[in-house]
Formats: sequence, C-alpha cells, structure tokens
Amino acid sequence: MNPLPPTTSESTILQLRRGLRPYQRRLWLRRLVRDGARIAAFVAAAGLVLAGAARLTPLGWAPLAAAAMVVAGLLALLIDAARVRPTLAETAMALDSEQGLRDRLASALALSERTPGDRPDAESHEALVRLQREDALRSLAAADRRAFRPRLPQRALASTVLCAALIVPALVLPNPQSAILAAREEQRDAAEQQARRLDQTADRLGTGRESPDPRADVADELRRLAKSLRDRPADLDEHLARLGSMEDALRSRLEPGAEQRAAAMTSLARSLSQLATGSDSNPAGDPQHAAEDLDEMAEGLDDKSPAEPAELARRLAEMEPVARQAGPEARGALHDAASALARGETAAAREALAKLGDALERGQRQVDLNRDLARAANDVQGARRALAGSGPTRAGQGGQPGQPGSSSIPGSSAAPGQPGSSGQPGQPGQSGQPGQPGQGSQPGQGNQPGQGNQPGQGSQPGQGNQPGQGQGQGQGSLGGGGSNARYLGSGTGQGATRGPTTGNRQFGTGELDPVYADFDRLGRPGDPSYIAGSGGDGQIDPGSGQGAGTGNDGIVPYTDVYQEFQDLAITTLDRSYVPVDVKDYVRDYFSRLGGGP
Amino acid sequence: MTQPALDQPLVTGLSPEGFADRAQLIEREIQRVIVGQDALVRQTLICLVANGHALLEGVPGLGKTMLVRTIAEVLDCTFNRIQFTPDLMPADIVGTNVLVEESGQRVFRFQPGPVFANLLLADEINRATPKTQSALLEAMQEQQVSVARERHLLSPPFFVLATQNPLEMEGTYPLPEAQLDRFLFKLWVPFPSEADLITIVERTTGSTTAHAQAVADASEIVAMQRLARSVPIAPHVTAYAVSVLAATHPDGPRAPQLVREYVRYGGSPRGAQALVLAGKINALLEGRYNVATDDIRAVALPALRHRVIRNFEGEAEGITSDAIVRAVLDAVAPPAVD
Repeated sequence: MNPLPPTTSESTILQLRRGLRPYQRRLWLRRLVRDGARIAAFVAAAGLVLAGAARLTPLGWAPLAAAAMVVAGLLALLIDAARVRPTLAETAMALDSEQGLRDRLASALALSERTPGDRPDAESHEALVRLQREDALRSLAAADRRAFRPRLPQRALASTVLCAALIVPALVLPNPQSAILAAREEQRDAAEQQARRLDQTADRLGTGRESPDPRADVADELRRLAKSLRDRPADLDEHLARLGSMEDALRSRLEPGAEQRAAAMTSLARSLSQLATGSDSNPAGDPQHAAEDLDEMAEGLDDKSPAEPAELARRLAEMEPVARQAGPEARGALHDAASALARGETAAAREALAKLGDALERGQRQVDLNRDLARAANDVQGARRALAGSGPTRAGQGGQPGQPGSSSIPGSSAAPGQPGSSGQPGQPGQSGQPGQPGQGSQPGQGNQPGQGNQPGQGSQPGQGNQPGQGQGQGQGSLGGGGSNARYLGSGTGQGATRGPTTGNRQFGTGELDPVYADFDRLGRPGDPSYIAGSGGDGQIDPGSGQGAGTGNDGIVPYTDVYQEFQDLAITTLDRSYVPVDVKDYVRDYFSRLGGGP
Repeated sequence: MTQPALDQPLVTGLSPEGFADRAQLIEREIQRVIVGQDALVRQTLICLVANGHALLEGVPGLGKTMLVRTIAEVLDCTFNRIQFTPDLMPADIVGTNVLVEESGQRVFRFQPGPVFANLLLADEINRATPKTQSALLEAMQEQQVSVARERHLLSPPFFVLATQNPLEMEGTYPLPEAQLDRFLFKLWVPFPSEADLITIVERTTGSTTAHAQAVADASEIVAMQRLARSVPIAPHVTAYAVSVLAATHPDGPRAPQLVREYVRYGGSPRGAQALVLAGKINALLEGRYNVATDDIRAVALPALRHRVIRNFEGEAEGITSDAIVRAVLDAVAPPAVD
C-alpha cells in the first residue's frame, strides 16, 4: 500500500531533511577529523612516553604496547565515528550556528515533531509553523554548500607533530636497553630449554615408577622445577639455588662405591655363571642370568659326586674377595654356600645359592637406582650450568688461586701380582686461573692398603704365584679452576701406582664423564658460586703400574690376628664410653669376620 | 486547508510581515519625536505587544513622559497620566462611586479613575504609598478593577508605563519584589549621546515642535498581541530560556559565581514567561517566524534585571543587577553543536 502523499508542509520538511543530508555528512567528517587528530595526538604522546621509558628501563613489551596503542587509537576512532555521527537535528543546529541562521533550521525540525494540540490559536500557530518551515527551507538553500569544512585542531596537530618528531630519534638511535632485553630473551630461551631437559629427565626417571621409589619423587621435583623455570624465567638466582640444592640432594644420595660394587657384581655374576655352567655363558655379567645359573646348579647338587661340592666350595671361596666388593649380602650368601658345600650340606647350600642369586638381583637394582640418580644429578648440573651461562653478565670477584693438585694416596694392591693399572685420570677443572701443576706422582705401595675416599682393602694376602687382587681408590686433589675433582683410581696388582693428579685442561667429554664427579661444583664464570682458581698449568699424570708384585712377608692373614683384635675391641667397648649403635657396628663387624675362613 | 501566503493575513488578521511593517512604522513615528533611545523604544514596543507593563527608571528629564505621550499619539489610544504622590489614594487611580441625581433619584454611579485608559503613565510610582501602588498593580495584573464589589474591565490594550527616579529616594516607597515582578520589563533610560542631545535641543527649541502621527489603533495592537503569542518556539529555545532563568538562582546548577555570591533570590517563573514572550516579539520584529536563542538573550536584561534580588553583600559592593544578568548570560551559553 502506498503511503499517503505528503502534504505541502510535510513535503517542505522532507525537502528540509533531504537538504540537510550533505551537511550531515560534512559535519560527521569534520568531527572525525577533529577527534582523529586528538586521538593521534594522544597516541603519539603515549608512544613518546613509551619510547622514552624504553630507553630508561628494559621494556620487552614496548613494541607490543606501541602496536596496542595504535590499535587502541584506531579502535577509539571507530567507536568515536559511531558515537559522533550527527543527527539531522544536530546538523540543523550546527548549520544554524555556523551560517548565522538564528535557529531557523533547528526550530523547523523540532517543530515538525510537535503537534499543535488543542491550543486556542492552533490555526494561526500552524500557519506560522508552515511559514517558518518555508523560511527555513529558503535559508537552507542559501546556506554555503561548503559549510563544515574539516578543521584540524591546532593544538592536537602541533602535539602530534612534536611527538612524532621526538619519537623518530628515540627509535633510530641505538637503545642501550636492547642488550639487556636480548640477554633476557636468551635467558628465557635457556630456561625453556633447560625446562625441557628437566622434563625429559623426569620422564625418564618417573615412567613406570611410583612412590616410594625415590626416582618418582625426584621426577616430581624435576617437573616442579621445570614449571618454575617456565613460569618465572627471570628469577635466575632462585632457580640456580634450587637446581644447586637439588643437585646436592641427589649427590648426597649417591653411593660412592656403587660403580665399584657394580663392577664387582658383574665380575661375580660372570664368575658364578662360569662356575655353574662350566662355560663363559654370561660374559656380560648379568646378575639375573647368574641367579638362574645358580638355581640350576643348586638343583643339580644332588647329582654331583662327593668330590664335586668340595671343589665348588673351594672355587666359591676364591670368589669371596670379589663378593665382598659386591656387598655384604652377596658375600654372606657366598660364604654360606661355600661353607655348606664344604660340609656337604646340600640343602643348606641350595638355600644359600638362592640367597646369593637374590642378593645379586637386589644389588643390581640398587646399582641401577644409583646410576639413574647420578644421571639425573648430571642433568641437573648441566641445566644449572647452562642457566648460569645464560644470565646477565655480572661483575665477579677475583677468583681464589687454585690449590696445587696433590695426589691422593694411590690405590693399593693387596697382593703381589700383576702390575697395577693406571688410575683413571682426573678430569680437569673448568678454566679459571691456571692452577699449580698437579703433584700426584706419589707412587703406590703395593704392600700398603690404599687410601682414597675409601680405604683400599686388601682382601687377601698374596698367595704364591697367584696374583692377588686389590682395588684401591684414589682421590684426586683439588684442581685449579675452582673445581673439586674426585678421581677414581683403581689398580690391581702390585707396583708403584702413581695416583692421578689434577689437571687444568678443559673438561673432557669422555664416556665416563657421567660416572665421575663434576669438576665445577663451584660453578663457572658468572655463576654466583663461582670461585676462580689461579696457578700454573696443571697436567694430567696418569698413574702407571710399575714393577711386578712380590710376596710380602709382612702381610699377616687376618685370621691369625682376628681373635687378638676382637678381644681388644670388646675390651675397649666394655671399658670406654662408646655409643650403642657403634658397639653394635663393631660387634657386627667382628661377627662377620669371624664367619670367614 | 489553504496555505496562507506570506503576504496574506493570518487568522489574527495580521500577517507576520504586516506585524513587522506595523512595528517599524510605530517605531519610526516615535523616533520622529524621541531622539535616540532606539533600544528603549524597541523594548517599550515589545512590552506593549506582549500585553505587559514596563517600569522605566531614569533620572528626570530624559523623556520618559514624552515617550509615553508619543506612544499614545502614535497608537491613537486613550492616554492618562498619574503623578504619584504620597497622598494619592487608590480611589484616585481606579475611580470611585459618586452620588448623583438621576431622574430625581440619588444613585451611586461609578466614576472611572485614570486607570481606565489604554496607556497609563504612572509617574514616579515609588512616591505613592504601598496601598496606592497595590491598587494600580492589581489593575495591571487582572486587567480589571473592583469598586464596591463591582468589577470593571479595562479595555485592551492596557499598558502601564511606570517611572521611578533613582535619585531623591528619600520619602519614597520602593516597590516590593512581588510587585516588581508584575512588570514585564524594567527599562533603564540612558542619558542620550551628545549627538542625540544636539538633535533634541534643535528639535525642541525651534519654532515648530515635532509631532507624531497616529499610525495604529488599539485593535491593531490587540491583533499584534495575538499574533505574537502564536509564534512557534522550538523546545530547545524554551529550554534555553528556562536555563537562563534557573541560573539566576544562587543554588542553580549553572549559576555563575556572581549569582552565588551576591543574589538572594532569582527570577520567578514570570521571568521565563517574559523571556519567551518577549523573545517571540523580538523574532517577529526581526522578520522571523521562529524564536532564536539570540532573541532570548536580547530580552534577558530588561526581563530579568528587576527579578534578580541582590543580597546585602551585593548591594554593599555595588553589584548591579545588569552585571548579574550578564554573568548569567555568559555562563549559560546557547546550545551549540560543533
């Protein structure tokens, strides 16, 4: 349905509205230009403040904030564009004001929306309203078509130009904060990298394991550390402290002689398998394999001739020194089996052999645990080192001079025989001030028990032509470069074993690296805990076995003096104040020795 | 409905153009006698067309009486003058019943007072007692007088021009605020400029005296009054007039500091009515059919200056009502869109 045709008066209003449309657009444009200039001035001022601040303090988010300011400015302009769009009434009022039309247009529009009502002079009022509309239309026709020219606010324009002029040099000139930001970025990347590394270690440790397995707990702690690294990469000192603390905790849980024990267990397992099967069926020295072989041997004891158990007992007895290295449990079981076989007690021997197999398996698990923890400690150490290196450069204090390396007491051979093998070379410390040349040439003496971290133990006196076996552990000296080096010297046989010395060479990456203790416990340059060493150029002096082992008449079998020592110890325990647990320890020691051959 | 052309008379019998022409004619005729004082003449005419009353204040000898007399001549209306004195009684103004003999009987007949005229000059109104003042003011407000319980309507137009002398205030009775409020305008009669003064001297000291011709009558004035009230006014203009009035109150949100400090009471609603009505007439006089905010501003001073009551500090410090109204106009700017 077509709308009713407009009356003349309505037609006038329509013409008035139509005539105001171009002015409405022009007024809108003027407002947009005005507000746009103001927004631009504001954004430029904010950008200038940001650029200035970014030169005074490292603001990694400055580019993002600058982009956000521009986007916010555009967004504000968009919102403003919708907000400042003038209505026709506003346009009429503005045009009245600009063209001096004395409210003609605004009045015409406003009056068109009002009804005369029942006022007594409605007719004359309506007539005047019509006249007023026509007057307004004439005024609109005479109005300047170029009204509402966009006007740039001078103050905003000047502010924008000034700020832009100042921003350019602030952006072009080198910013001293860039280096700091780059270092922080590097630190963040390093933190992320080390967090991944810790996560990998945690996955390796924790997969398939649950508490109370210590590896599961360690894995949890590592994951927390990794999360902390990701969440707060800037807290370098805290992370280094936590990593150091965790590394220390892991190291403290490591059994120092674990690798010795592992080697002994491997050797024992291989020998037991060879004894049980008559062939080298277990060249790798797998304890489980050895346990199975022992089971088979135990089952076949009943079928053996009377002389064979004695021979087995003798050969088992020969393995007892190695079993002692493998642990008291293995040694006790081996001893029990040998004793039972020597006495011809097959059932007891079978039971003892089963215990021996179990002891081997448990020992292997302990070794595995130790290795996992050691590897985790090395990972943590590596993470800490990498993280320390990624931090901002700090002015460090001069390092303390390194102590001259001194050899530990070399490994000792318990019995004459084969020349002792050279000790493992010490791993050089991190660079620092060169340390004094290591002095580690004190020859080992074959007739004295070695003393290192642990005293070397001569298990048995040399017997005739048979070579004795002895293992000693030497401890390296403190090397230069602020490192704390430990050496594991091991040698067999007799000879002047020259213990390892400290060296100041760069850290080697041999395959035994994870096994041996770290050299830079005190950190590296830039690390808060770093203590620089000084001194001469150290050198590695690997130990070398010299000379043939000889029988030593000075060695007295402990069985000959056992009773005397035991009496003296018991008397001492009874007469002196000694803690109960120590008394138990001493008594246990002698009771164990008393069961030996 | 046929649409009247611009030159066609409206229902009131007068077209807007006719209104403007007639007003210009009246002004021109008055100015033949009254030299200078164009604004005063215009504002007096606005008062007349608005059916209001004006209070003229000025020192003696500035032509106040001459102005009223000339207006009466130009309008061809009845004119009376009352010289207010302290012994003037209300009956002297409104009239009284007198005992007369008619057909051998004595009856009371109402003898109209001087108030029964189209134009009344109340000269030095502040010299009469309040009782007498109120008698005139009642007639001004009600357009009628009551004598002996009998109402007597005043014939339109009824226009009172009261004068008062700002000097010689001793023995006067200043008009109370409520009665001042009944005057549409309070007009200040300025001292003429030297050039105007020369013209005045030349005109009044020669052998011939200028006289105005009657160019309009009472019915035309009434028609002009009706037309003026029909002029449309946009809501934003009305709102502006109200804002101006509200700003004369010291507790008004847009009151300027001068008002807050020196004004005791602001304008009454009659002030807003005066602003709008006078604005309409001002628009017509300028040839427009709508009221602009400029019209409101143009009439604000005479319409509000006697409605703003200063406090003691304002009077003590000599703050004039005109200064206050100007401060209000400065504070309340017309609605603007940029």
